[in-house]
Amino acid sequence: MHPLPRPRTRTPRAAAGERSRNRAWLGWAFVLAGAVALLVGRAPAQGQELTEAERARGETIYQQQCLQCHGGAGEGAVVPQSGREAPPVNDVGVAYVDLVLRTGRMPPPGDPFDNRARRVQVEGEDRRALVGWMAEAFELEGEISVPPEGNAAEGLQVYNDNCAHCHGNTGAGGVAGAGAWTPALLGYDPVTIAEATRVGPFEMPRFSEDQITEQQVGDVVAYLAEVREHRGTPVFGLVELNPVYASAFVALLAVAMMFSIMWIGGRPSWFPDRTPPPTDDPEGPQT
Amino acid sequence: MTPLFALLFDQLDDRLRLRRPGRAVANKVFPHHWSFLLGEVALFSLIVLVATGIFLTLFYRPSTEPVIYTGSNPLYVGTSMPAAFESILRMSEDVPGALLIRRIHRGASHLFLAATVLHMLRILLTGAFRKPRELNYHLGIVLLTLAIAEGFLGYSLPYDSLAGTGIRIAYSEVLSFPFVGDRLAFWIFGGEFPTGDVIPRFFAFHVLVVPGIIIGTVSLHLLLLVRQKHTQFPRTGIDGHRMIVGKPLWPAQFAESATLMLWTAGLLTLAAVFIPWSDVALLGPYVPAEVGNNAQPDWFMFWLEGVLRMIPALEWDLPGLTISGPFIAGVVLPGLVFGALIAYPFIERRVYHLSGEWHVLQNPLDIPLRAAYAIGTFSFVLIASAAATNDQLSRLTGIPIETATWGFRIASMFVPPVLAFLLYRYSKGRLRRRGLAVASSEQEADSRFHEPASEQQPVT
Repeated sequence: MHPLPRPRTRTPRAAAGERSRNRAWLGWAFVLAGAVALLVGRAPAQGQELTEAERARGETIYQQQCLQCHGGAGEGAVVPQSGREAPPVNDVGVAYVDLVLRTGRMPPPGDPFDNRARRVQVEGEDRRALVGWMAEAFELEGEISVPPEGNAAEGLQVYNDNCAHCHGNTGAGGVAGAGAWTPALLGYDPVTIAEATRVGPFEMPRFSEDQITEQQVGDVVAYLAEVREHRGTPVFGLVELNPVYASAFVALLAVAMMFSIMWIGGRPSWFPDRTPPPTDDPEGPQT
Repeated sequence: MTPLFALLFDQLDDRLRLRRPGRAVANKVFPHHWSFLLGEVALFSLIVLVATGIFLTLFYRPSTEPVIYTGSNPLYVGTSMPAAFESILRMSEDVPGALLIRRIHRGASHLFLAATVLHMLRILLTGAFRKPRELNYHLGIVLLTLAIAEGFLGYSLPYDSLAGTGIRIAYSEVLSFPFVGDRLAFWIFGGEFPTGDVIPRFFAFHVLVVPGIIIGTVSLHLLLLVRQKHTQFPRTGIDGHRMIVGKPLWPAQFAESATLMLWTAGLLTLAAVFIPWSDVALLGPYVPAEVGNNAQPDWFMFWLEGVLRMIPALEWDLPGLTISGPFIAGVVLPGLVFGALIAYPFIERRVYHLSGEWHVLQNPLDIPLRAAYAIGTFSFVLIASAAATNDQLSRLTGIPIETATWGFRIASMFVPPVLAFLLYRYSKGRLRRRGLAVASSEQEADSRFHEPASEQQPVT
């Protein structure tokens, strides 16, 4: 697995000139990081690193878990259980195949279009072997790219401009209509975020590098990592509450308040009178 | 009395002549029942709100001018953002104690509204609004309206992503008024949203105008309460129409209320430590035209948001004016709900030909119309509130959001009338089984309470 990039922290500084100089330096660092990532990321797609054992492993996984619905040559077929059409997988990109495995859409334990929390079934080395084998066997195009290390502050802006409409503020997930939900983004690793941005799986639009640059993808990843690592409250570890969940806590608070007043107001009296208790009101309500 | 206190009191009394009015105040009678403390919780929350609010005013900047953030939150260092949001970030990260105070302020606003609503339910269900207390009941409705408005203004001030979305919706609501909508919106918001005038104006209303009116109205509310005296639950052997039974303000009720005040403040502080009511650092500042998928208002606006989410995209073009769905959802329906609340005391009095004054509380099931009205209105408000959470419910349950919305549409139209009808039938049957009709005067209602049911003669 790829380690999460740490959000880059910058110290406050006064002079604007110094800031821009530092920005330039950062830019070069990003370019370098991007180049390294590109080189690293290219490898599995071309299958150069795939050993014989891995190749066999990938083929076995494909035959066991994919072949029934997607066909021996990845040409697609009818799903025996539901009668639905399984799409061909021999004309998609490597990133697409990798993405559906990383997000747990495939192999499906249930409805593959249900975007809420899913269990990932093929991961780690298994996934690498499977993707590598499929890339070779079906001559799939593309590569798995690792996003460059990013800046969380930039990422927040990119996220709110491009992603929050569907995925909700702070990557909480949302609804997309017609029984589709946009997944919450906090559980995904950087590669998944980057792949989804470029591939645009299912209802999601595809974002080209003109719309969101590689660097901006890295920034979004950094922002999401920052959200995930945000320090919560001391006891429950709660981070920021959506108003709906806040309303549940308001209900709890109201219940606590009701019990408090029942306890405080339910006592016989704090200063019992020694004289006969009914305190007459001399003026009394008029009839 | 301690000697020191006695000395001080004597000195003051010599000058201000406090003894006689002081005794009258100290002997003010408070009936003993826990539900009478709901209003007190609201009052104490208001005190907490004012105290914490003053602290927050010292650090908040009511402006949307862009500024460069230089505080210690790594998410924002060096970026440009509205000054309002920047000051909120600064409070959360760099002003000692301000995050806690801000959370207490938000928690207290939730408790204030919750206690106000529950207090109103108590008044409505037990009939404490009846003659001669209609005026105080209406002051209470004014207070509820002001509290909702104040809550909305406070929710808007941080100018985070959610707040800006809320202001945008309010702007659209004002726009939807026929004839005057666009002018009214421009007049209130200082031009086409988003404008730089919104936050300064909301700030002035949130810290000055609305709280001023709230405190004035609360004072009048309490003054009328003292003048008209409390209502009370019926007690055997006590003629509640002529006499109030309870404990005196000093010392019994004072001890109870002081305990409750401290308890409320403690509960709010504890809640603020455990619950991040108001944290907005991860949301980011409001960027016009950007809306998060999971944007929601605070819970007390859920019913308004819910009606907005349920209403279909209607628009009637009549000659000279346009009536749109948002106008019906955001103005007409809430107007009806509040109109019904305001008119209810008069309706009840008229329908049942009630006479005289009423000082003793009743079981709402003894007045079928009231039971039906209460359950009808509040089931509608609850269903509409649930409809505002349709996206979260859809995610939790796996029901497509369209299906959920249609479910809420149907439920909000049919469940309240059906519940109201059933409860009306039930409470009417309950009276009939005992051979009774709705009591038309307090003496009649009181006599029923004091006589055992077996001795009553069925009316045939």
